[in-house]
Amino acid sequence: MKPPNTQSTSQEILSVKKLTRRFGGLTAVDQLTFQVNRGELIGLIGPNGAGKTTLFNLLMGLIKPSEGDVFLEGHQITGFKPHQVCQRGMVKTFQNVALFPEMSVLENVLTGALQHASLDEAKQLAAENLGKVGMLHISDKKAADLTFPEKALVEMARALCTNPKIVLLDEVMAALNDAEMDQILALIRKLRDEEGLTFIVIEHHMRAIMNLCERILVLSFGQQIAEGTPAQISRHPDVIAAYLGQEMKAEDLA
Amino acid sequence: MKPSKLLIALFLLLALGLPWLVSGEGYSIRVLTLLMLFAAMAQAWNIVGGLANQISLGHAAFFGLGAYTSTILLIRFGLSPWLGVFAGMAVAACAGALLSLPTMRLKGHYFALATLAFCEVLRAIANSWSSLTGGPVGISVPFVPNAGIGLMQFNSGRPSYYIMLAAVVFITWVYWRISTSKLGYELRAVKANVDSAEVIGIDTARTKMLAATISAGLMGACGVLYAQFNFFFDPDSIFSLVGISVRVALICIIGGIGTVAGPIIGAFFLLPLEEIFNATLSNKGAGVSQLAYGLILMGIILIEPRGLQALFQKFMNRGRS
Amino acid sequence: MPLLQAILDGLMLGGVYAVISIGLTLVFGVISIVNFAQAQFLMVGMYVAYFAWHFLGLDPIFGSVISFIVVFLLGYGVQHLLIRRVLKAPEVAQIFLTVGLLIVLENLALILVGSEFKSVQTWSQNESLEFAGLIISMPYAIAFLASGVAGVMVWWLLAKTWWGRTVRATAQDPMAAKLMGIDPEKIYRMSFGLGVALTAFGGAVILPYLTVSPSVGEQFGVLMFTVVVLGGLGNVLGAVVGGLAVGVIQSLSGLFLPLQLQNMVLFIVFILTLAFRPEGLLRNKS
Repeated sequence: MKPPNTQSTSQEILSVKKLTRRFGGLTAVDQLTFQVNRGELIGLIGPNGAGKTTLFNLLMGLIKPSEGDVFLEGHQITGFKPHQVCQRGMVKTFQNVALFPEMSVLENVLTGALQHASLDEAKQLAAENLGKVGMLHISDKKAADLTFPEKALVEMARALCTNPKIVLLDEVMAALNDAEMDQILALIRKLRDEEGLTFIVIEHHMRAIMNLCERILVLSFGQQIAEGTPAQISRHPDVIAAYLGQEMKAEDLA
Repeated sequence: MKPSKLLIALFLLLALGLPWLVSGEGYSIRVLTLLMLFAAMAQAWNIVGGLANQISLGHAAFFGLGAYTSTILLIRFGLSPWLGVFAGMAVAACAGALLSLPTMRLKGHYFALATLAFCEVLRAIANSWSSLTGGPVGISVPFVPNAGIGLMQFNSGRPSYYIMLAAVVFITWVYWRISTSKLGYELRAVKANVDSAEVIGIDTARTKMLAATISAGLMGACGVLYAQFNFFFDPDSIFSLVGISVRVALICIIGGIGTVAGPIIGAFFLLPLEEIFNATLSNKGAGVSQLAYGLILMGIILIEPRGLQALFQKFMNRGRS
Repeated sequence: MPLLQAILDGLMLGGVYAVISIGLTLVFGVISIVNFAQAQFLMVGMYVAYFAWHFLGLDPIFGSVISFIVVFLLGYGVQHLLIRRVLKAPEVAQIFLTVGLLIVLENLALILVGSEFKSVQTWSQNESLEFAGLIISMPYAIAFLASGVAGVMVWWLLAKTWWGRTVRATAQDPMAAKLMGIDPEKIYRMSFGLGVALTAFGGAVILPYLTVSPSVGEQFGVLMFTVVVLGGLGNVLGAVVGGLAVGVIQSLSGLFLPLQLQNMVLFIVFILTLAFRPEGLLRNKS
C-alpha cells in the first residue's frame, strides 16, 4: 500500500548523504552528497565505470550502501527493499532493459500499476502511459520480440505506471534517433510541467542532457567532480579532463 | 490452449458420469479415484511449478503433513476428517510458508534440492517419532462400519471418487483464479526477472511466499483426503520422493506446466499408463513397472521437455507447414 | 570419553563422506548440473565390490578399484548418451533427466539383484585399533585411509597435472577452452565418469560396515548434497572439509539429541547454508 499522498510543502524530494559503496578493494561510489528538488530535471553524467548505475541501484535499494544515507521526501529510506522504495515514490529503468520477455507489452506495463490499482485500472493506466511514450500500437506484441529502442520506451511506460514522484532513467535514449529522442525529451518536460515529476537522467547523448537538464552532476571513479548548469559543466576543467581519453571529446560538451 | 467453456462442460459431464461406467467397488473405481486425486495434487504443485516456476521435488512433505495431522487428530481427539481437512491444510500451509523463507533466493536445481531435502527430513522424523506417528509401521485410520459421511468413510467406492473430483475442480478453480488475478501477474513478473519486479513495487518475497503457502496448503488437503480414502499410510509411502513428489511434478510437466488443463491432461495420460505397466509387467518381478516408468520419463524429457501440450502443438505445426 | 570418541567416529565417517561427495561436487563444478542420481552410482559401486567379493573372493579394498573402473565407464557412457543432450535444455529437463536416471538405476538393481540385503564378511570386521582410550573399528579405519589416498590422488590430478588444468579451464570457460583446442565434450565425459566413479569407490570401501540393497543410495543422497553445499558446489577441497564437518555433526547429534531431532540438525545446517552462504563456507573456488 502506498502511503497517503501527503503534499509535502518541502522543496527537497531526494537527499543523499555521504553515500558510499565498496566492492572488496574497489570503491564504486565514494561519499556522494547531493540534493534534488521537486520538479528538477537532473542529469547524471560521467565516463564509463564512474558509478552512475551503481548510484541508481543504491538509491533503489537493489544494493546496500557501505556507508551513508538516502532520504526520500525527508524520510530515511536507506536499506529499504526496492519494492518499498517504489511504494514511496521512486522508480528506475534498467540500462540493458529488464522487461518480462514472455509477457505482452501491455501486460509488462500494467504490472507497474499493480501495487496501487486493480487489474482493470492497471490495464487502463498502462494504455495511457503506452500512449504517452508512443508505443500503444504494439501493445499486444511479445516483449521479447521488440527492438531495443522499443523496449526502452516500454520500460519507461511501465515505470510511469507506478505513479512515481521521482524517476531514474538509465540511458533510456541510447538507441533512439534524433527525432525519437526529441519526442522523449518533450515527454519528460511535459511530465514535469503537468504532473510535477522529478527526473534524474543518465545519458551519454550530450545533446539530450544539455537540452533537457537544468542541473548536471558529474561522476568520475565514484566521486562527484562537478555540479552545475549545462553551461558551467561544459566549461569545467575537471569534467573535460575526465572525458579526455574517452570517445567523447571536449567539443562534444559545448 | 485456453479451455473453452464447452470443453469444460464436456469434461465435467464425463467426469461425473465416469464412476457409473464401472462397478462401485473394486479396482477400477479405485484407479479413477486416485487419478482424480493425483490431478488435484498436480494442480496444487502447478501453482508453484507453473506460475512461480519453482520446481519442487518435495511436495510430498505437505501431502504427508496433511495426512498425519488429520489422522492423528482423528485418533486422539475424534476430530471429524471434514474439520481435519482444515487442520491439515493449516499445518501444511505453515510448513510451506516456513520453507519458503530460506529458499527464497534459490533457483532451479538448488530449490529442487532444498525441497527434496526437506521432505527427506520429514520422512526420517516420521520414521523415528513412533510415539506420535506410529513410526515405520505406519498409521491406520480407524474404520467404523456404517460411519457415513460424517467420518468421511463410505461403503462404496463412488463417494470417494466424487470427493476427489470436487478437489480437482476446486484446486483448478484456485489455480485459474490466481493465474488471472494480480497475484498471477506478480508471479509471472517475479518468474521473469526478480529485480525488475521489485523495482516496480512488487514485494517479491511476499509473492513467492503466498504462492508457496497456498500450494502447500492445498497439497495438505489432498493428503487428508488420501488418508481417509486409503485408511492406511506409512512414512515411506506418504513422504515418497518417487511415488508422490516426482510423480506429481511429472504429471504436471507432461500435461503442460503452467497451464490450467496441464495437470488434468497429465493425470489422464500418466496414471492409466502406469496401470497398464503394472498390469502387464508386475508379474515379471518387482521393479519392472517402475523401471519402465523411469525410462518413459527420461524419454519424454529427451524428446520434448515442455510436455505433451507443447509436443502436440509441435506436431500440429509440422502438419500445417 | 564419549565426546572425544564421538568426534573421532565422526571424523572417520567424515573422511568417507568426503570421498563420496568429491565426485558430486566435481560433476557440478565442471558440467554445472546437479546429478540427482549420484547416490545411485554409490549403490552400483557397492554392488560391484560385493560381487567381486562374492565370486572372486576379493577384499572390498581391491574391489573398490574394480568399482571405480566399472562405474567410470558407466558414467562416461551416461554423459555421452544422456546428460549431453540436456545441457542446453531448460532446468526442468536437466532435473528430471537425472531423477529419471535415479529411478532407472534403482529399479534395474532391484530387478537384476533382488531386494535382499547383502553384506560381506572380511577379516577387518572384528578388529579394532585402540589408543589413548579411544577405539576405532578397523573397517572405519581402512575406509578412512582409502578415502584419504583417493582424495590426495584426485587433488594431485586436478592441481598438478596437465589434464587437471584442462578440466579446470573447461569448467571456468568452455568457450575459451574450445578456442585453445580443448574438446569440452571429452572433458565432460571424463569428468562425469570420474565423478561418479569416485562416489562408487567410496561406496565400495564402506561395504564392510554397511549392508547393500537397491535403495541404499537413499540414505546417502541428502547427506552428499549437504556436504557439497557446505563446502561449496564445485569446490573439491570444500567437499573434504564439508565431509568431515558432516561426519562430526552427525556423530555429535547422535550423542546429544533424541533420534527424532538428529536428522533435523543436518537439515537445518543444509538449509541455512543454502540460504545464507550458497557458495559454501570456504571462500575460494578450486
